[in-house]
Amino acid sequence: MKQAIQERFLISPFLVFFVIHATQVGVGALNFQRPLMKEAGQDAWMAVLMAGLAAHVLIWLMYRLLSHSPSGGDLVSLHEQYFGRWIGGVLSLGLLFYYALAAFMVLQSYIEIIKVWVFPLIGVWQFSLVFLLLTYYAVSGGFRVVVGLCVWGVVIPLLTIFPMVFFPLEYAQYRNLLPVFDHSFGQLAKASKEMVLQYLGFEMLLMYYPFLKNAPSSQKWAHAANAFTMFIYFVLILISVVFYNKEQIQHITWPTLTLAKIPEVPFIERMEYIVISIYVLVVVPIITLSVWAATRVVKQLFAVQQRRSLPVLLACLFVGTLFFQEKTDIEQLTQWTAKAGFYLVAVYVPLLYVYVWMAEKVKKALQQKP
Amino acid sequence: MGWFSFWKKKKKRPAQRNLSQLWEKLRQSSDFVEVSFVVGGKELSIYYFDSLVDPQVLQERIFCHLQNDIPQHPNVRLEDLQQIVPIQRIEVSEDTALIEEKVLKGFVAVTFREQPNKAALMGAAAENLGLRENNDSENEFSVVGPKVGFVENVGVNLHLIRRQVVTPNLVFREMSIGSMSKTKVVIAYIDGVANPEVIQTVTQRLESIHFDLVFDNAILDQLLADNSRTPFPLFISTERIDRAIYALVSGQVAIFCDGSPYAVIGPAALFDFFTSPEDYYLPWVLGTFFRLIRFFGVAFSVLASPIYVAVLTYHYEMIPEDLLGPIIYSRSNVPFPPMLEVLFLEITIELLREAGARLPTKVAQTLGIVGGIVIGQATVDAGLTSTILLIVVALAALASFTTPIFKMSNTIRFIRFPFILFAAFWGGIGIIFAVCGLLIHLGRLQSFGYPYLLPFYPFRVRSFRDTFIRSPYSETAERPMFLRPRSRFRYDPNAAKQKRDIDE
Repeated sequence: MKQAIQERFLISPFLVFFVIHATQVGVGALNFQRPLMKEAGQDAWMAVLMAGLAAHVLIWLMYRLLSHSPSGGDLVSLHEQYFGRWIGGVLSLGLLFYYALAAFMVLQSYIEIIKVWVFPLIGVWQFSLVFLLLTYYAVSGGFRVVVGLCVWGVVIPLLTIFPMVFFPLEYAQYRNLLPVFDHSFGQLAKASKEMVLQYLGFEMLLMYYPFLKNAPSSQKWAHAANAFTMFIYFVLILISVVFYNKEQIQHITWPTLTLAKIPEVPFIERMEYIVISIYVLVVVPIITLSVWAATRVVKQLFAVQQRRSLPVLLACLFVGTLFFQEKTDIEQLTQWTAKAGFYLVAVYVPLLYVYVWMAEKVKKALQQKP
Repeated sequence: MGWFSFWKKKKKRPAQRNLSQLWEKLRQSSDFVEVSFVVGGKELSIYYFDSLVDPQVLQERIFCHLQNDIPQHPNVRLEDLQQIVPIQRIEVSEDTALIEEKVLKGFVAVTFREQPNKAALMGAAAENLGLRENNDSENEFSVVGPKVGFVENVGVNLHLIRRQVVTPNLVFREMSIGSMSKTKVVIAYIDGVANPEVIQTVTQRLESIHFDLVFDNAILDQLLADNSRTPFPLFISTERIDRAIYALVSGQVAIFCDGSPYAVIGPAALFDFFTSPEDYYLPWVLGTFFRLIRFFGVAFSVLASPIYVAVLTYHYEMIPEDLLGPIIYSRSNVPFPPMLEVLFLEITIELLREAGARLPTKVAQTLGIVGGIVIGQATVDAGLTSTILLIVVALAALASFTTPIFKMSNTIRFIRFPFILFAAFWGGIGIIFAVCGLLIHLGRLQSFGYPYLLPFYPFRVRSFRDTFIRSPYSETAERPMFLRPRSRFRYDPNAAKQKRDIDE
């Protein structure tokens, strides 16, 4: 077991709200409507709520699992304790790849948006370089700096971008919401599976759990963050349903950005440029936290300093962005990440929890026998 | 400061063993005076620097009493001089290093022949000679409120503070910094309010400073800083008494330094730099309004010209149709890309500002008018910049002056340039890149170990009563808790909040 983290590097429990919310709402919030409404049509908002409730259950489960971890450690030390050095190490390696993949996916999809909407001609590498330099600067400042960035990444977009999505209500057709309950449970479940990527982000908790001051008390804030995420997606999908009709939305790749074209003020037009720009503040915290989590896995697993592994990881990500240029590749990447995240959060964590729970039972029984 | 390093080498010579060697060394200087005479059978020698002592004190207190009173006390020794000479705290020492330091600070050394290795040290320094007597706090002016500012004499500054904070808990701790300047530095705090950890940090940092000459508190400020690679000031420096006292009362620590009319206050947070004492003298509604104007001014000053660059270089679709006409009209003659246009004007303004600061006041005023009107109009006529940009840049410059602390307005002047470059490279996304970098940078900064972005991050809701808004006094009884003060309330919060019913 590694030594406990010093008090001055810990964060207050309520900051978990910002961290979880910042990592959940990402690039997906700009384009989740289309696949969702393909499956569930005007009932898509139910799928949003269903997926959100599932995320609540998974967050609860994650907290239960981590409280079993030795002296409030992270998933890596949990693996080591229950599976030994080798098998546990392989499992943790999977976690490392997942975090790196998550960072890479978010970076790629945002750069794709820049390419399509703003700068079709500027080389992709410039943006990925700036992003990764910012990431380096933030991560080398430590976890507290990363969390600070998450706070800004929630507050500033909430004050600037979020109010913009209400402008299209001027042209709303509320009858689009009818008929309610028009889709079967199977369709809704399928649709809510499309929401996986939108709710993912809380799995980073598996690594930063030991950095929470009085960690168990932060659970309510984690749930609050998830509820708030649910609220944001709920508002977005409602506005999309009443603003677009079902056929129209299938032809729009980024419905949220198209919504941002609607607001009109006398001195500025085309607000989507503002939205895309400010979205940097949404994207950077996710990349930063994923990269931080990945380097933290490396530190815990191989005892390599984060200062060393960070540049290597960032260089890998940078080289990666040079090869993924096609829209279809990026879509494929997103699918993989969603799948990997789904298996990690919804399959692996519950199984692990059952295993740990049984192992504890067996251990107790063995201790009581003699 | 490498230029003074050759002095240091000289300093390294072994200290002189006895007093006569010390006098020998001091005699090299022509303002060193040595007077020897016999009175009442005693052989006296008096040593001092003519340039440092107050002649009136020297004659009326020291010479007069020594010459008149010693004959009446034939067995007087150096230790007994306190009974004869009416000067406070006469010190007798054998320590040559101490004697040297005191004589160099304006003390008069008296020796008797029978006690050859001892000297009595009497303070006769002309403390205010050549120094300002008062300071009208012109650099941090406020229309309402006291106009008295700190002066170069640290004793006067301490007096000014002590006169308003009438409590035995106000503690001054003195130390001497600088191998050559031996500058008197005083740490001031209120015991029972300031967090002991902060006091300890400040003391330790000051003690570990190795430096030759401390000209001003600004040098200490830099030597104390947690991070020297930042354009942001990590401590407030103020010449206003009310500001310093307010900081002490909130639980901060102030550092005074002899020869500097500024107090350095820490730990400071970013928001402290945008509050002005005047906010507290105006009714809270107005105070809040002006404070918000100031925050808007900062945001505008940093972002206005980058946004101009970004929009005109990359996002011209964002300009509404009605606005497009005037912009095309004013830019049609300009042959440069927006970035060069902006940099040209920004640098012109910086030049005017810098020149205005270096020139004598009267010339500077003329220069301001010439620069502002003539150059501005001429550049537009010459087709170097557009009129709209001229307005934007002038307003941005104006807005940067609303910051009450000079150091912070310098910083705001500076950080505009990276923003402009980022905007020129990547448009609106570039601006947010820069914002993001700035936020990370601010998140990494610390002032005496306290996060710089307090109370924003780590988020402290209750401390918001006095950041963006200046709440009425009934709400501000609590000290800002992020400083972790040892007592929570400044005054009785319940008495301040008491409300009566209608018609009662």
